[in-house]
Amino acid sequence: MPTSEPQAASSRPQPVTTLVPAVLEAASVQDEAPVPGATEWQGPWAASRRRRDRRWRSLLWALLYPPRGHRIVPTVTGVLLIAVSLGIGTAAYNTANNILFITLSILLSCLILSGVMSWLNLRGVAWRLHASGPWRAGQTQTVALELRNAKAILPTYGLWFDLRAGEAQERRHLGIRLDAGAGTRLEWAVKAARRGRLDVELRGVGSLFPFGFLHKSVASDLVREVLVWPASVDYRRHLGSAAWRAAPSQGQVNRPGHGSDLLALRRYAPGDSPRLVHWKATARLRQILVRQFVAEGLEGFILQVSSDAALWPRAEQFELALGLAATLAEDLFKQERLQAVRIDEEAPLTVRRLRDVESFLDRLALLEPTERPMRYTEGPRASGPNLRRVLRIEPHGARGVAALLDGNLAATA
Amino acid sequence: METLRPQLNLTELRQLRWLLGGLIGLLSAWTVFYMEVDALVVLAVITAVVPVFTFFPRLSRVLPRVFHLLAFPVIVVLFALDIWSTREPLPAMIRLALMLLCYRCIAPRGRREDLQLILLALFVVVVTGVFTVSIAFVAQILLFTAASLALLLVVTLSDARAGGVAPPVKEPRRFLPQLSAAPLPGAEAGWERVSWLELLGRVRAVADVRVVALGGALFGGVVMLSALLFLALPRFEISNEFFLDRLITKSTRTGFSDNVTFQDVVNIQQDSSVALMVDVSDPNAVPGELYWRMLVLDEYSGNGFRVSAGLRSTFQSSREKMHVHTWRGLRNQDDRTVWTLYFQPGVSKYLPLLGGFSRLTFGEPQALLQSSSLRLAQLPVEPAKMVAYRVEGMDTDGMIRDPFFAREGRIRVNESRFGQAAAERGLDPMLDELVPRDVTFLDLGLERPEDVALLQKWVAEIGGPGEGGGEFARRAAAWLQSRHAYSLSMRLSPGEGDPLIRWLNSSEPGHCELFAGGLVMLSRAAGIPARLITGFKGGVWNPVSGSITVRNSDAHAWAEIWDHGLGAWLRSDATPGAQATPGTGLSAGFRSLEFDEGWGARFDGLRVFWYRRIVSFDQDSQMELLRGTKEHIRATLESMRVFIEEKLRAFAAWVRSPWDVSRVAGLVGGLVALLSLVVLWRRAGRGWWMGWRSRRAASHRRDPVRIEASRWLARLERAERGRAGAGPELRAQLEVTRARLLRLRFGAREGWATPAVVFRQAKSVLRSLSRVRR
Repeated sequence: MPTSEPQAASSRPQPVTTLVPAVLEAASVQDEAPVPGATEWQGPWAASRRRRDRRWRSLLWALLYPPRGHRIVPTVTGVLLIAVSLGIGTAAYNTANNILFITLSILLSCLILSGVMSWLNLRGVAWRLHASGPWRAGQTQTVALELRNAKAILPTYGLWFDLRAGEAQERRHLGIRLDAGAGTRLEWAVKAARRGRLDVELRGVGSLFPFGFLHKSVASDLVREVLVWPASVDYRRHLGSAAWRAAPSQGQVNRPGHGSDLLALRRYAPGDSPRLVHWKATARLRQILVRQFVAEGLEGFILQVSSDAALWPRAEQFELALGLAATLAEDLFKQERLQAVRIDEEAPLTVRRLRDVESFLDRLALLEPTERPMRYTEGPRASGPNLRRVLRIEPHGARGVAALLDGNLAATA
Repeated sequence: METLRPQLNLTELRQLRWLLGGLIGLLSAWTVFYMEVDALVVLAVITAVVPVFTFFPRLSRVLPRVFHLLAFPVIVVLFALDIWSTREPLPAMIRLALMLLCYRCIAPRGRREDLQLILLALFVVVVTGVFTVSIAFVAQILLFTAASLALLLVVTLSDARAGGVAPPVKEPRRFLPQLSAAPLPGAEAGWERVSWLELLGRVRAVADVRVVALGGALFGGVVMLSALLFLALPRFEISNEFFLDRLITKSTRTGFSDNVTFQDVVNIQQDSSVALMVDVSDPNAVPGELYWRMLVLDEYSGNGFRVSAGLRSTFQSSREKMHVHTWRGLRNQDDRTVWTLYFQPGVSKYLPLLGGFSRLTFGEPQALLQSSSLRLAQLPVEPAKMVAYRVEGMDTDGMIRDPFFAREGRIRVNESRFGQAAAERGLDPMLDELVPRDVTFLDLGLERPEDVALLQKWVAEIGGPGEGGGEFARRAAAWLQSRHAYSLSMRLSPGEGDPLIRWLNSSEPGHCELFAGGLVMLSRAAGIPARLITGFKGGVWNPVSGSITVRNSDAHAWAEIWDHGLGAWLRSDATPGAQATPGTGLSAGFRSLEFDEGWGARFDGLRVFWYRRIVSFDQDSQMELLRGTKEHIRATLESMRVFIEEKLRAFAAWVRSPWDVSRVAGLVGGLVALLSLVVLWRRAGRGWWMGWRSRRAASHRRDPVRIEASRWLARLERAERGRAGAGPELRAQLEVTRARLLRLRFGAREGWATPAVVFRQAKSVLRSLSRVRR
């Protein structure tokens, strides 16, 4: 992205989406295929599918001994009900009064009904986590919890889900009725505090359904690990715009683009403009071929980051440096001027596609200061004349960070 | 695509919650109508106010804050005043609960207030049920349970809808409702503007018939489970004392008290409610004439009869509360007929009995005052609830034998009790001239000698005392019936003198008390001891329950005349149309009674079932039930064993019988036919059946072919696991089979191979895989 000076280059606030859960069509949850970024299905329904052949035995056994992680704890209302039952039971036994015995029986039945309905409510329910990357530190991301109710008749009500991502945790309530055979998504807007690996967890599922007597909870070990890239930082470009701008005379990049010189012919792909069709070649080879042009020749950069602990005595300065590197990498790639990236003394990685930048950001997400001495060697010299300019990330003052272009201050953050 | 049903929003849930709260309040408050606790004013206020506030929830917001501030203190003050003035804790507590209930129904409510409402309502319903022991309690508690569970369900749903339980709001006064200061989180403002018709339409749209039916079935399950728990809860006694009895006092409403004035019994007859239900172990032992004795009155007071201090002193109190009370030495101990009586509250503290008994058993320990000479039993206080008691060895011949009276000519007075009884009557026991210690049943109690002279004249007209009390009683009764007709109203000619003498001197019609009183006075004037008895006469046979129903309209008064020759008191009923002769109609059986076959009888039958099987259910009943169940199971198993043995014997006989070609051919043919059927089913029938169900399946998930394919896929996956040694040919077969199964499981029906063939192939591959070593 071309920037002007001064410029807040990449502080792009993303919308925080806290969506109201929407009921999906029944057919949309029938898909069994694994979904990228999603965990496996978990929950009573998924568990029952795994042990379908001994379903009744396990069901009866589960009524006596709840499965591991399943807990039923009386709530305040439940404790009140039990206390009232005890009081009425004591009075009934003291007086041998059958009216009190009837009341006691009804109260106990209500407690049992509560347990049965609570079990029915959770039965047939499954959930999985969607937490696909990339995540950016400091930016709001959406974790989606996909739910399905595989029961034949009964809806499911009033579940809640305890979600955690790092230090952030939240209880999301299913406020709506989840009909039999339907699915829904609960979304949680969460902000990653720092870069690195982040476990997005579903810690448990609970419910007070139906009468609030019992708190039934199911422990969950559903974890989705996401990589959090360094935060985007605001930086200021210091060199004149000419230094950053393209110099067309300096040649072209040997990759497809929107330049004027023909690079190659390729097969037509849907979406290609009809203007690009090479009619002669098409007629000769009896298949539609389109022209592919060389990208405009822009002077590229090599972005170089050092993890030398001696260079970065302050942790926050190191984080800022990584943030600047990540932001510059993205901006330069968008401008098609990022030629290669390099971390410490490793061989530079030539950037040709988005995946290369993402790999670099993945590396930055996990990069930690190292104790080994680090020397900036001469930048990699590729064959092309436009791969000579190296942007080095270095400390700038006590807290700041700078990107030096051939020793000159190019950007600061 | 399946049409999604709408969902109730938070506002609608809130409205539903308000409606259910009001309903619970009304339902529980109205149960107090069955209980006599003088709460009519509070009930009227609740009946008037709660429906209005329930229907117009906006009114709850109109109430000024000062109303909420003062409500609780005012209710407490009213309760304190109530206790102070009435000295009856339980009625005051019920009135307190009603006031709180009323406030909770009209004030805004949060979760906590809803729980308070349910608890208050439960208290009212249960206490009312405990005291009335009415069959209506079943309907009340079931309605209350259904409404409360619905309210709790709506509370849970609305909390979930709002994103969790609303945190308690800190307020300066804790008793103020949360919602008066802070609305439920997420609740739309103005939920009080409700159109109930629209809400009803929304609820109907939201409700799924299947879910509602399942909910109804679950509630039915709760009722069944409650019944089972009620039967199965172990019954053992800890102390067995009905403590609530002490918190409430009750006075006799109907007039069966120590002092009966003329017209009292007739007033009771105006009430047609049930007073007594009687269960007889042997219906054929029911006598032709049922006279339920409750009170013996000896002292004529000028306007009626009363129990003298001497007669009251004959009642002996049991030392402690007991289940079983006995009168030893009574002759009828060998009679095995068991009479179970369910005596309604509000009638009397005197227990109706046909005569003396050898054993009287209560369901719970009970103090009892008994008079063996009078053959009467009374409870210490007026019962506030139905009293069930079982009587064994009860005399039904209408004669009360009293050897002491025969010997001494007076009732034995218990000196220690006499002082107490006299004091209770407001008399000074030290003044012997005022309080006769010996009850001879001969005192006329008339002040005017003219009245006594008139009596003597009439006795002479009747023919004098004759040879015995019974014979004189018959003549006197005939004399009375010749001069007076029966009427429920009492008319007296103006003039001076004793009212009973004036009536006897006239030809005015009269009621049972006048006939009985007249007979007593005539007998005494003739020198024959006589006394007045009040109680019930008769009863109807309920064929539905197989029991006798006695109503208040059966209230009656009659006389007992001493027959010195028999040494017994003979029942003598001078009322026109009555069977006056004792000893007649003995063991005439229940068929001698009038049958009650209307709808009322069905309800009464239900009530008897309620008393017999529910209210009187105890440890013995539980053991009896267990024994019955055990016996039933044993009999069923025995009949099964006999059936199997018979079949085996028949089979053995069939095998042992001579074999010929036709029998062998028949056997072989049958086996072949059976085998053919099995093979046919396995080869074609099963596939056809599955295909038919598959075509009718509503969705993929219920398609039996897809379900079966899913099972085979899982089996193959399990079998394949760890069997790396499977050969390439088997692997190829496995892959082909798996592909076909996957197509059956997920693919379109048009692309299916024949399911039965695929499943057979899967079975074959599974067998091959199982032969490969892991």
